[in-house]
Amino acid sequence: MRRWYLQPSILVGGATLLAVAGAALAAGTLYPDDPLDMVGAPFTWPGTEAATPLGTDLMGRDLLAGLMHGARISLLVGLSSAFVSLLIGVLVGATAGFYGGGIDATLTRITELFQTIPAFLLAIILVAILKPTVVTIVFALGVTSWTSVARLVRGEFATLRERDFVRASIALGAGDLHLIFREILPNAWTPVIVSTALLMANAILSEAGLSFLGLGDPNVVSWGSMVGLGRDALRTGWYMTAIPGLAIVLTILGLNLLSDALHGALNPRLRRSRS
Amino acid sequence: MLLPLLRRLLQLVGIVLAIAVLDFILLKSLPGDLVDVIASESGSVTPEYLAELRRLYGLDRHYLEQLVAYIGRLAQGDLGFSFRYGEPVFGLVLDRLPTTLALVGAALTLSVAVGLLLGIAAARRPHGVTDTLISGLSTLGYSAPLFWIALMLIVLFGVKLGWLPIGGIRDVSARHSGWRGSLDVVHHLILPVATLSIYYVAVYARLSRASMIDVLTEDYIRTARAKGAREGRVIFGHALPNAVLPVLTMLGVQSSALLGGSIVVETVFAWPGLGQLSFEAIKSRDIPVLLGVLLFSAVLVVLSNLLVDLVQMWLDPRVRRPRTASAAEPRARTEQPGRLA
Repeated sequence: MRRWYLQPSILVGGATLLAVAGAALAAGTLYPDDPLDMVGAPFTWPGTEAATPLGTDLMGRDLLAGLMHGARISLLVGLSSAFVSLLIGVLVGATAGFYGGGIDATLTRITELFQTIPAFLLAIILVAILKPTVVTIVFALGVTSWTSVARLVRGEFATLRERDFVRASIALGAGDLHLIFREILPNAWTPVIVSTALLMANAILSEAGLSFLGLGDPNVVSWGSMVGLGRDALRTGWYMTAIPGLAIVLTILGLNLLSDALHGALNPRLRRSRS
Repeated sequence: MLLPLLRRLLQLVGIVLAIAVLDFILLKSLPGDLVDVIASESGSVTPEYLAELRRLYGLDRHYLEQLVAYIGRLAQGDLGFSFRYGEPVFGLVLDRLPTTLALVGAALTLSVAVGLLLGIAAARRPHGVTDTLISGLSTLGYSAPLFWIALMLIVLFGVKLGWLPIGGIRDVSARHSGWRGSLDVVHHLILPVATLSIYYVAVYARLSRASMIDVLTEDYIRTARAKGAREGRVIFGHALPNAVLPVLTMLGVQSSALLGGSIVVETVFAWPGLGQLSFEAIKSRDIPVLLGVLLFSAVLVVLSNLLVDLVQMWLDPRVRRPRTASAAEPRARTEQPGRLA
């Protein structure tokens, strides 16, 4: 079998994400000015002016500068809210799976409740109530998308805690915290890692959706808000909508390819059928 | 047969109660209350009058008392009052519900049908040409934000080609009636349904491919082939009923994501359903309406899960008993996070 990391999907996905990360890092040096400033004539189509290779929007702002600065917000929100979801999900899932019984039943009910509420709607309401800033958006997306992680981790814990190495540890007098964090959790990471890429993808999409609806942080430029603005010029300058949207598609595609490849590589059952 | 039904109904009550509490907390965390709104609208009011109003609405009582009163009002179908429309929220939501159900229902039916067929075609020869093509396209469909697909479809079919209307539910200037009126609505429905379907076809194609590949390795499929059953019969008669189970489970799980997605799509296409109502409410920070939509959507999700349970019981004898068998549990892939927008 080939080395798992040499699959084309890992290479393509990884390269795309590296490019996005590079754009986010270079945004400050290449375009140190506020990307919300006017730099050229409005409605400049891509490829017509050397100074603004991707054109300008209906207020004369550089699309390329916006894209690169927007990459920062997308990655920042994606990473941080995936982290928040992981934190909540692992805590809830580990507690439920480890202790079982009444605690498990209660936590599972709560998880089911959050699965029933349309997460995007709840995120909208939270952001609308808390006023849209990057922090509240991360919070809203984090607290609405931890359920899948909790279910995964709960399942892993429920089976792992009956295994011999855990029993041996109990027999040696290990405490609950030691069992959860040092014995079981290190063995439950695999599915969690795979779903992290998807969590990030979802968070980036949701952030784009929120700012498209006008619930983004008004002080920063975001891919979603660029699409939302371009929408006003859909008839005359559809490139303003198409370009930031393509940035979203490519980023999410990269994350999805990566997640698929990891899923295949870390799941022995799939690996066998693949070779 | 009755037990799971009863379990779901109890769950429904529990969830409505829990969401009512959540709604209440969110309402109370808003800066200012109903009386502040009245005060700001009327211009000049005395502090005594405000205190009087607060007593009248029960806003001076303990939070727990207020919560009980709030749940009592919910039980009578009183979801509060919209600041913006000046109408009861319940009626507003109920008015918009059929429009959203038409959109979501059409999109769901189309995506499951097309997704299943594509998934089956891909699973016939995993990693073959057809599979690579279908899997590649579905990964692409899975990666595009709904609002962007919607806008690009508008550019192509609405602006450039001019084939389809780009928004609304009917042509106001034409004033069609009767069957021409219905045709007009269908005409307006095509692009929103196509938008939602592009994403959900991708989801169901991926899911049914994985599930079909799993099922096709089972012994009873080999038995069916060995006794000489035709390929069509093996696929559709033997494999499909089992392969469709995880897809159905996913359908239940995803109904809440679908409602979330319809917010964005309805907003783009000015489709006058719950999603557009929510968008208007976001713009004017009309929180009671948003909370009403939240409660309604959650009830819809529980009901659709109930429906999925019933269909599964009909399809799979193993699930006819209360859900202890692993048959009803989604397989690994469905445990992955669902999509929000």
